[in-house]
Amino acid sequence: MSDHFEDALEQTLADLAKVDRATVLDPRDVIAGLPDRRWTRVFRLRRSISGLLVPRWRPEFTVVGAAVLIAAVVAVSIFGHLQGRPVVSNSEPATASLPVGGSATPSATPRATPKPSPTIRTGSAFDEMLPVILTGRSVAFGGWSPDGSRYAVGEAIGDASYVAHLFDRSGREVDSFEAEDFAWLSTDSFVVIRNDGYAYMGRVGSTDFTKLGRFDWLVAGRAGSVALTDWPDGATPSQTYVVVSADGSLSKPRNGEPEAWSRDGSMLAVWHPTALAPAPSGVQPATLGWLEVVRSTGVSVVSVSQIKMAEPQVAFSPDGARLAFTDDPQSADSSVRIGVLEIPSGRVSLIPQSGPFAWATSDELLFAYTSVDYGVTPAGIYSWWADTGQLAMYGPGDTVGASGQGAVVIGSDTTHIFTFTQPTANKLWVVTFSVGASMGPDAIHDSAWSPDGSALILVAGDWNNGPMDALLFQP
Amino acid sequence: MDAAIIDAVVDRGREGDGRVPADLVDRAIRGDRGAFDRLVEPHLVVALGAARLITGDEEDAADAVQDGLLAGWQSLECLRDPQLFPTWFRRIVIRSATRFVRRRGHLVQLDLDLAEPGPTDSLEREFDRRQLARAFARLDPKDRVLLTLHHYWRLPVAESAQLLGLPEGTVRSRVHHALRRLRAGYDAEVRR
Repeated sequence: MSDHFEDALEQTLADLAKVDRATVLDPRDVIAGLPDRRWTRVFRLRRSISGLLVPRWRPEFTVVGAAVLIAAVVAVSIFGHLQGRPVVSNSEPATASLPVGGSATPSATPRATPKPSPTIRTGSAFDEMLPVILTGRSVAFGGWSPDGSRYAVGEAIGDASYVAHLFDRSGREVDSFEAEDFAWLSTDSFVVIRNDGYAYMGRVGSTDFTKLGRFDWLVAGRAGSVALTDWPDGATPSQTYVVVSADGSLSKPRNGEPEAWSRDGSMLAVWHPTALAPAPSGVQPATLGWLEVVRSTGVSVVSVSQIKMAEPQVAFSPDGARLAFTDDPQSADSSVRIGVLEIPSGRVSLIPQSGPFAWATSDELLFAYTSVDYGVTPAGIYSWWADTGQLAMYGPGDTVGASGQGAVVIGSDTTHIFTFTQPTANKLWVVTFSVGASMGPDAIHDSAWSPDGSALILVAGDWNNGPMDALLFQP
Repeated sequence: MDAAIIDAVVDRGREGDGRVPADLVDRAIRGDRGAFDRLVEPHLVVALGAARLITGDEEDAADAVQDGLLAGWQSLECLRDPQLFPTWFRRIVIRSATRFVRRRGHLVQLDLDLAEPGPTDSLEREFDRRQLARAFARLDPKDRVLLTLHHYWRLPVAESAQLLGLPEGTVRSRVHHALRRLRAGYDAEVRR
């Protein structure tokens, strides 16, 4: 390598590394505001300690685009009204008669109004109509236990101390401890990552924690599946991860970056980035790699190569038979698309449009499409049926969320009308949220459906300055 | 050059000045924020620069350094030799920045803010550096870390090896290969 090249590199890096003076001030502000060092076992839920705070917890079932949805729910508690009605008297597919786009104007019924749950907390950040589980300065959701009988909510205490609160279904707090990242192993046991970079196994109600090793972050499944990614050292050839067994034992390290567990925990989607994908100048580069489905034992099931993803988005269908993922061809004439891998056959179907997606059922994928072809394809919520390949407009809106068991929410950040549809044993409930226009999506941070789709935890408020409320919605 | 832009090259000279006062580390461990500030301050700007090179984004770099500061503050007692504070802090910043890149899953194109050409700069050289910046931005994060350590932080191989927990020979080899990949990327940019 010529000296001239390395000289040019050093000067180039020096130019690239220049930072704005205002940027330098931030860390100094942080130093001034560092917490007392007696909090040496502080666990963090967020990546920054000043400025925009981003929750680091990964809800076990994140409703795609739910940030805006939750805004609706929370805003309704402040600005609007919650209304609901049963629209059918017999069990029917959730999508059979779905009114959307705020077209429903049902009258309120007692059944549709959420019933307050008992909680040890008093007061709330806002004048909420929904039961308040937890109020704190910064709050994040940590996941439902596999059987849905418990859930975890994280809370920031001070500037850099984080506590996980465990609740039972009635809203009674059953345990709390410091934790940065959290995942349920079972109804009674869990894995946490603490600020020291180590993962620990704990049990509800016990103060004993078993150290598992040093890890970076975790990927939680709905059935108590947990994958821990290794601690990056900047030099390891590739990302590796381990899988945690129910007894806390760890598998041998496996290559790849775990992305998502199947619902039953038997399979894991693993992303293997290989290189930055070639991209035209001016186009944000994506990563070229291959996506693999492995059993929890590590045995490979099927893989898809030559995928380009800028922001990995992967989701198993509820029955585990399909895996939806995004693919970014990065060409001027081809936009991001959704691929659906049929796991038994390895066949991949491509949906030419893309957007945040969620499985409404095992056969129906919903995604919020924002037109990128100048109106040729109208924006809205689209439905794609895996068995027929049929693609159709599902309804207007830019937000979609689904439980995978028929519970669907669609809505629009423009019209501020959101519809929550929930099939139960003998009724299909439709709840319409009318949202105060001043309540923007920025106020929303976490949401997660219970495993049976019968309850929704919502976390919202001012993440930067607090306060925030964690709310429980149970039709 | 924009007066609001800090040239981290200037601060790099300050980084290695003198030994780390052991009492500063002791005081910081006991909870003295001022002592921690004095420990960190000489390394702050250049750490931000390194984080920016690795993350490709100024805001992410600031967040990464903030995370590093917090992690350092919370684990100071792990620092057994005060003289190793610079290496220890660099390691924390590198790890923090690498985490950001991994979480984001892709790299952000770095914006090249070139200094005004000096008397000895030619237009051709400035053009070369822009192509070089694009090639660097497209490197694998691991290569960016290695080149940041060696060609921005200008660390000796021994310290890089200590920081990365690798044998010196391995570090030399990886830097060599990272440079080769950068050169290949650069040539591709030129041909574009």
